[in-house]
Amino acid sequence: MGWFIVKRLTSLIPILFGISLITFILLHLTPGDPAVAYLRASHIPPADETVAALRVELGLDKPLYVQYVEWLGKVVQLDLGMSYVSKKSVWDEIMLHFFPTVQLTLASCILIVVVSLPIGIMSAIYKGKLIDQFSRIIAFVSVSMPAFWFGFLLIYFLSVKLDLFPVLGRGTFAHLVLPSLTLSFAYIGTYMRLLRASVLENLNEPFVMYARARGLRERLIVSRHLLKKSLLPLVTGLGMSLGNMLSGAVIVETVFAWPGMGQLFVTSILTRDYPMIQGCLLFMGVIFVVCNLLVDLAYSFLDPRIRWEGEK
Amino acid sequence: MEQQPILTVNKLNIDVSTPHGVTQVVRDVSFKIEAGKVFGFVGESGSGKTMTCMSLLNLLPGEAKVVKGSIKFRNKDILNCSAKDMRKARGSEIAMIMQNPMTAFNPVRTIGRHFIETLKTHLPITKQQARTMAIAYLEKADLPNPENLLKQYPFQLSGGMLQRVMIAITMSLNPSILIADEPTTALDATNQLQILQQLNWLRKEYDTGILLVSHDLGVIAQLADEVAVMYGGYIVEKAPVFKLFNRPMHPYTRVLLESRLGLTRRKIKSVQRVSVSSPNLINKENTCPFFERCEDADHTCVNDNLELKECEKDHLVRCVKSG
Ligand SMILES: Nc1ncnc2c1ncn2[C@@H]1O[C@H](COP(=O)(O)OP(=O)(O)OP(=O)(O)O)[C@@H](O)[C@H]1O
Ligand code: SF4
Ligand SMILES: [Mg+2]
Repeated sequence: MGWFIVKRLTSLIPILFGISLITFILLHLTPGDPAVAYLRASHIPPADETVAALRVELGLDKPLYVQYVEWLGKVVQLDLGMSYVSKKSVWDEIMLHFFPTVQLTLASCILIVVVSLPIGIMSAIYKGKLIDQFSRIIAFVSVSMPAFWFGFLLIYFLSVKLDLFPVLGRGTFAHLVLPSLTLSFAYIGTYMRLLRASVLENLNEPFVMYARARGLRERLIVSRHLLKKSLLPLVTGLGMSLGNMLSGAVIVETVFAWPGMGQLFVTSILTRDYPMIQGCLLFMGVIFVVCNLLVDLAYSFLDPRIRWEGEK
Repeated sequence: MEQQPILTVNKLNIDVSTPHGVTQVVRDVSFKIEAGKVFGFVGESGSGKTMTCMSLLNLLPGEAKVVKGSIKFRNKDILNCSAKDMRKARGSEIAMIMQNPMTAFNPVRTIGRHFIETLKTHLPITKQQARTMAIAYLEKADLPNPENLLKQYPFQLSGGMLQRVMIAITMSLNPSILIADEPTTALDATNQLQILQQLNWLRKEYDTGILLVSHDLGVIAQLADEVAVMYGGYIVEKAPVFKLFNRPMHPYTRVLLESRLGLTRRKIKSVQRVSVSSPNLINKENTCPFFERCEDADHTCVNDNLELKECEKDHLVRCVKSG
């Protein structure tokens, strides 16, 4: 197991390098001059001489590869530069917005697991029965209903009409309820059905037959045999969704005025805040890589075949 | 002296509902298994062997249903006893060895977990006691290094070893009936022989009655005391093993036997006819199931009472031409 982690970690180095390169190049390929953007953000008219002077100051006159190496050197020290707009450290801004996003993501993940796990399993075991029909409808609604609409419905009924939760913002635990409900709702339907399909597939496997033929109680067969095996496909999906959620849920954050990564990223694009865009992109790339690593680890924990391969 | 049978199956009929209608997969199947005896089931793929086996444990898949007949284990009516009684009987009184050892175990659980959970389900013992027991029985099944084996996952073992683990699990609970559904089909010749020897030892040592299923007559010949030949859901011939091999009476049994021995030109033709077309399970009423592929078929084969008839003592055949 230890070896497996070390191997996976070393394989991350070239990937991270690639991400940094792509982030850098992408931004320099897009039309528009960062120097002009800087001046606009600072409300200074972009006259030719000011622009030229600024290009030298920001190092934009140097060859691209020199800029990249210099930038990378700073990135390694967690120095992502200074925001053009707020004139604060990009790293600090990201950290400031990342924490609310983590909070929202964790709450949503818990909701997803707590809701879709039991319903998914039950609707497989009681296939075609009431609970299965019910889960089918939930799944249908969940994947077809736009998040902003569902969010507004929740606000209208639970906040405005019944006054159970605060409408906007962040602060108390109550503030977290509606945004995480909205964010998780879209995923719940998918995972419920995914789990159901996975359990159904395993239900006809010979190992379940053999477990029954050995006289095991049905409860034990579900909890010990079906659950762990059926979770495998779910883990991959959840890992991907985790990456998605951690890089910010723009719509949900906008609806509930939640100051997360999504808002930060969208604002930085709208104001052409180059260092901030670069910082956000790089940060999200790393988040995805880390989530992938987590999926691999979870997988090897659940499936001994992978663990064994990894140790060979 | 006639021995009291442990398991009695009487006129068993099983239907499977498919999207295309109802298929009759088992028809009028009757047999008995006695303590320490091996009852063999031969028949080609799809003849209903596995369905019959699963019904003995009352574990038919959802689409399949027993529509007629009875299964009696000692004094228990298998088809009508409570779900709880049935569950308790599985593994401890009627055990099963699965057709494919590689898929019978849960790939994400160790051998030890499989073994221990089975013991703990049926016996009031602690985990530690179950472990000790498991080790003892794995040793009895000729498996080397049992302590280490308990920690291993199914994919780390060969098919032959897994098959022996299943036998060890069976032995540990000392059931009176063992259903072995093609226990050797997935194995190579050496492993096949070892498994058969172990089954033989099991019935001698523990007096277990065994239902041995195979489509290989050679396997049946080595172990069985009595044989039933299945075709299209019917038992077409049933006899003590020597009688069946010396004097096969049903045309299908003859084809089966001939296909194992040297063949003349004419016989090859008949074998080909058998292997090319497949049995039509949706039988026309009153016609012999083997009609379309039988060399001896004629108008007399459309018969109102085509039943298993005793042609000589203990030798039963389902064919109008015999007896
Ligand atoms: N789940 C199912 N749905 C529909 N038909 C089925 C199902 N399982 C089995 N059958 C049909 O039931 C018949 C008997 O199948 P069974 O598995 O008992 O055959 P078998 O003699 O064990 O064959 P094999 O040697 O391949 O194991 C076959 O014709 C098969 O097509
Ligand atoms: S009854 Fe007729 S068709 Fe059937 S096996 Fe006998 S001879 Fe062949
Ligand atoms: Mg079978």
